[in-house]
Formats: sequence, structure tokens, C-alpha cells
Amino acid sequence: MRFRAGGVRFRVEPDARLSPAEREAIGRLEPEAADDPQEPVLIELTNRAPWTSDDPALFPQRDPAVLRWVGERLLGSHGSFVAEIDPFAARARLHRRDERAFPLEVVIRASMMARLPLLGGLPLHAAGVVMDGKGVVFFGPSGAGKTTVASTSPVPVLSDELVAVAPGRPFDLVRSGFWGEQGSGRRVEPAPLALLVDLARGPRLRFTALRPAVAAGRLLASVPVPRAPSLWSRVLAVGAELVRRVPVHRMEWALDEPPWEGLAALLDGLSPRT
Amino acid sequence: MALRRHPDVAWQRIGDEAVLMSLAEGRVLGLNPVGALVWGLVEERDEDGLVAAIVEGFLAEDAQAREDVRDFLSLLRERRLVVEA
Repeated sequence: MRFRAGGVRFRVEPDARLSPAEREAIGRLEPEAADDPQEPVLIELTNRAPWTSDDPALFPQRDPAVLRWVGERLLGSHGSFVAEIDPFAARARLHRRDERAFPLEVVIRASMMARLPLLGGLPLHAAGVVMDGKGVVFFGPSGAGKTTVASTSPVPVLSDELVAVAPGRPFDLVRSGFWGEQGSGRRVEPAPLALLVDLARGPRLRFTALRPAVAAGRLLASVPVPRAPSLWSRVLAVGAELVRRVPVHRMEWALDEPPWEGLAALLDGLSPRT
Repeated sequence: MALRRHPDVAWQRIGDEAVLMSLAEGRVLGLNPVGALVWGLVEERDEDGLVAAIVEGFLAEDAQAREDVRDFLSLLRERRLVVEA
């Protein structure tokens, strides 16, 4: 099966080995375009584990799975699966021990996070909405209000937890896939990324433009990419380009003062950086 | 004595500023133009050389530049962003 998740193209083989639960999970993702030029990440479903270990801590019976960066590969494991992901070669091998969608979902998510920076994009632990055709990302530390902002949004929400910024116009805000998406059943189309918002609680609504290095520093704390030097050299390069091209504002806000009118006014006054 | 950037630190210039990511600790640090200049030269110059670069680049007073360099190098050491060469 072929599909896209978070702006990354995937292919899973052999198709005949996919369980009904896995097919259903893939069906919730984006279909690939007929003329999609991006090299897909090939996820091969294997009969044998791609690696082994005697360490029981690597194979927990409960979530979450264990993900480790070893020798320029991402090794994933759990009581229900063993996986190896090579984001540079765009290949992954997955050996799963049950028919739930969980192992494949973990491998798709981990592959997307590791592969996207190599394609010029970034996954963000953030909420994302589309306002009048413009993508807006809300990031910040835990408790800053990402979920609250998304849950009170009068405009379409891509996710309240994980979004992807993909190369596009010049960057597009896209769905990440399975995570943190509202259950409206309505797909939200990708939109040109117009604004990055650093969330903070405050006594009243206030917007402050951030200097690029400050903006990058705060944004990069929300990037869930494995901490490998070879990946983070790309993350930093993409992050620098992102804050150079897309305005970043700190938004202090309070629950009793909805930010949407202020955000709309801010968006109207912004022009893309060149 | 010159220092060496810690091998687990990824960094990127952004205009005349810079951002550092400590991969071991998961901490990000944004640098202003003075910090970015020092970071860019930290493996090549000792304290006197870094002070001279700031005096030349920012028309700063020598004493103020030395204080800034010492404070910044202390921060880099404290956060394990550099190691002794």
C-alpha cells in the first residue's frame, strides 16, 4: 500500500501481509498523488526480526515502545514488534508478533519524524489550525495551552498534538497522521504555513515578534526528532530556514480572552518573509 | 587555552545569530550576535583572541568584552556545550 503521513511518502510491502487493522489505520492517512515524485520510505514486513537482544527492557509489554538511535539507524522494539528504520536509505523493516495496527503505526510515525528533516521539513509537537486558508502552528512547553487552543478553535484543526511542516509554499502545514487529531471525520487540507505561535499564559492577549535565533531556540524544543547529530544538523538547517521565511510571534493569552480575533488581525497584517 | 565544541552539540548560524542544541541534554540555546561570534571562533582562539574579536567586531571596550567572554565561556562550560581542548 502507498500513502503519505506528515508530508512523507510511504510504501508498505508485501501488501498481502497487512492485517485488517493495519489497512484501516493506513486508510486514515493521506493517499499519495498519482505523480508524486518523492522517493517513498519502504516499510518491509518481515518474517524475522531485523535485530535481536536478550535485554527484556527493550521489549515492554505495555506502551510506549522503545526507540533508540544506534549506528545511524533507529531501532524500535516492544513486546509486539521489532523494527529497524534507516531514514537516510528510506527503508524500514518491521517484524510484528500480532495483528494490531500499533506496531505499524509506531514505525510510520518514527520513520516520518526521522525522515522529514532530510526532505526539508520538520515534525512539531504542536497544535495546528487553518485560518482563512493559512496554516498556523501553536507550540510551547507542556501547559502552555496547545490542547486548549485547539479545542476552542472556531477554525479547522489539523491536530492538537503533532503536526508536520513540509517543504511547499515555501512551507506547508500538513496532518501528521494518527495523533492528536480531532474526531470530526473531516480531513483538513494542507495549507501554506503563515505563522508560528509560541504559546505562553499571560494576564491578557499580547503578541510579540521573536528574533530569529530566539524563535529557533524555542521552536526546536518542540521538534520530536531522534537526537542524532546527523539528523539534527538537518533539523537546525531546516529550522533556520523556517524562522527566516515564516513569522514567529509569542502569544501571551488568558482563558477568558479568546485569541482568534487578535490572531486574524495579526495574520492580515503579516507578509511572508523573503 | 582554546576549547572544543562538545561533539553532541549541533548548531546553526541564523543571520548574525546562532542556535545550539545539546543532543545529550535536549536543551536548546539561542545566541545573540556576540555569542554567535564567540561560538564561531571558540575552537580557534583563546580568551585574548575572543576578546579582540569582540572589540573589533562590535567596537566594544576591552574590559566589557573580556567580562562578556568570561561569562559566556562559563555558561558554555556549565552547560557542557564545550570541552577543554
